[in-house]
Amino acid sequence: MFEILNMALQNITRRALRNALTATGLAIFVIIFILVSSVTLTMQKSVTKSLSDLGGEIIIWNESSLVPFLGNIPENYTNSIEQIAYVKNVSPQITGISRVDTEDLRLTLGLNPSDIPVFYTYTMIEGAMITTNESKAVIGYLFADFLKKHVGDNVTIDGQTLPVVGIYRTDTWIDNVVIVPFEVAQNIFNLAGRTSVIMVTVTDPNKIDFVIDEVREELPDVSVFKSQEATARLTPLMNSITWVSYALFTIAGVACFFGITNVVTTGIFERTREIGILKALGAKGIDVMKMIIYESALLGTLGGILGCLVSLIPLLQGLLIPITSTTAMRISVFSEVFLYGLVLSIAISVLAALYPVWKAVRARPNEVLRFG
Amino acid sequence: MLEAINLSKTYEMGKISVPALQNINLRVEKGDFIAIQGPSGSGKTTLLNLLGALDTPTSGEVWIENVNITRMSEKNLSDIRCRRIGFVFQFYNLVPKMSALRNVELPMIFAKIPEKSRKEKAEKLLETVGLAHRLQHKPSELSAGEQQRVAMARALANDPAIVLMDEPTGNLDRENTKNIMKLIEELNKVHKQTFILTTHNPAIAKFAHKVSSLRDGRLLPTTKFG
Repeated sequence: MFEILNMALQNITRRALRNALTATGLAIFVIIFILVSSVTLTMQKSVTKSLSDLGGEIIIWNESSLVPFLGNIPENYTNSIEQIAYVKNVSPQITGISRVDTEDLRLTLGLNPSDIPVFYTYTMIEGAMITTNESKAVIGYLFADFLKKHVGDNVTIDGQTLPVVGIYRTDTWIDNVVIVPFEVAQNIFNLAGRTSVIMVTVTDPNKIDFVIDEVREELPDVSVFKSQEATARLTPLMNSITWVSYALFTIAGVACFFGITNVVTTGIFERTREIGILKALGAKGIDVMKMIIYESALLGTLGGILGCLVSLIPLLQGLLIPITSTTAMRISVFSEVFLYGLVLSIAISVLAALYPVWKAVRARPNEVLRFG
Repeated sequence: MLEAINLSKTYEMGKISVPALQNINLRVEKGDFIAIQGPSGSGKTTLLNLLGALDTPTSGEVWIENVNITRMSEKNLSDIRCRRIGFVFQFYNLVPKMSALRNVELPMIFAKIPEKSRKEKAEKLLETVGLAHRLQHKPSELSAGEQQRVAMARALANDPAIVLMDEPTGNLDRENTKNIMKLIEELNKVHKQTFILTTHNPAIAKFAHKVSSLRDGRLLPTTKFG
């Protein structure tokens, strides 16, 4: 085995430039795979975390809207839900995209002040949390830092100016938003009698499924599910992101596959005579097959490792996905994505070699020595 | 040792059938040195390919050491080529990227000979053919005569019972031709291996113990020397 591997290695070094270019092509595929996968996974994990940061064990929303947590359902559904056994807390919450001061596309949360301590864990950095439905706002410390706001300043949300009464910290994405009383949010976002989502906690964690079934029976026109299933429920948004990723991998993978098939096939045709000599000297079909497959696998490994190393540089340096003009999400490093990238690179190379291998193994030595 | 019985080979070139060999009968004993002489296109290479398990006949049989190789699987034929037969080609057919030593090691790699013994044997064989000082040279760094010597050393690597040589001097000058033929004579004498060579040159054929002439795919009666 090592001898054949050694021969494969020598063959690779023999056509160094061509093989370096092939490995670079594979590396580019691996880079695309790792970066796109990392972005997708980061977004999925971030959305899941964001939704779990909203508090509650059950989420109820309007799944038919494009971005469900930005859709709306009747506020009075909370009354029906409160009647269900094992329900502990019911909180209507508004999640609205708005212009905050000079910043477009910022998320504003509308919460009943009494629900805030129930659904969120926070510490106040300045001032106090809102406790009434008066037109006041509290700002997450990261966003406050960015806007340079302090208690006593005003903040303008979609043209409505509110005094800032507190700066809070949760160590979640909510540190980047503004929280206003639920009724104020209804007014700002023209959602009188409506709510974006309803969050529910239960008295017994074992009864979550029971409560979900009851809500579904009671309110058939809404989507009800566990908070941890939120990512999967974020259709079509998350699905679109995932499918775009798959499409990118497939296009890059197919391009790589044909590129490598071309390189390997050309290489085999150029070496037809040499393969004939090896067979005339007693090489079995399996020996020739191993040699070519090893060559391809080595190329795949080389390209895969190169791609992993190059991808690691921007990720370790803190590659960011811009969310708005002022906020960005740092892309996480997922070790399994690197492993998959390497395996895919090797698999594409080996698959691409199958046709030329088949041709080489079938050739009779006298044919290639005669015509090769 | 080696026997061809009613061996025929016809090439199909589109709709035309070209008979290359017709009813060849040949018997070669252990230690024989036979030359098959004939002009270009007489079927010498085709015959050698059939005897050496590089090709399959249209009809007839080839027996090597009492084994009929005609209907063998490709895997078993590989074994025959690896262990029973040594080949020397007119154009040497050395692997260009490999050193002389590595080229001689090749058949032993396929025979799964351990590295140490393989290297020692390859060095010894190259020494036998007078190339002890050229072990690490690649084919492109060797003269035509030297390349053919490497090819001969390679053919002997697995101690084959039969060594087939297709116009081994066809591409060499007079001096190299003489040297190579002397070497073949000596190897045949020392190793007691069976040598079959093809040539178009009657002067080369005279080095052999027996000469069979091939004309238009048919073998003429054998002439014996010495």
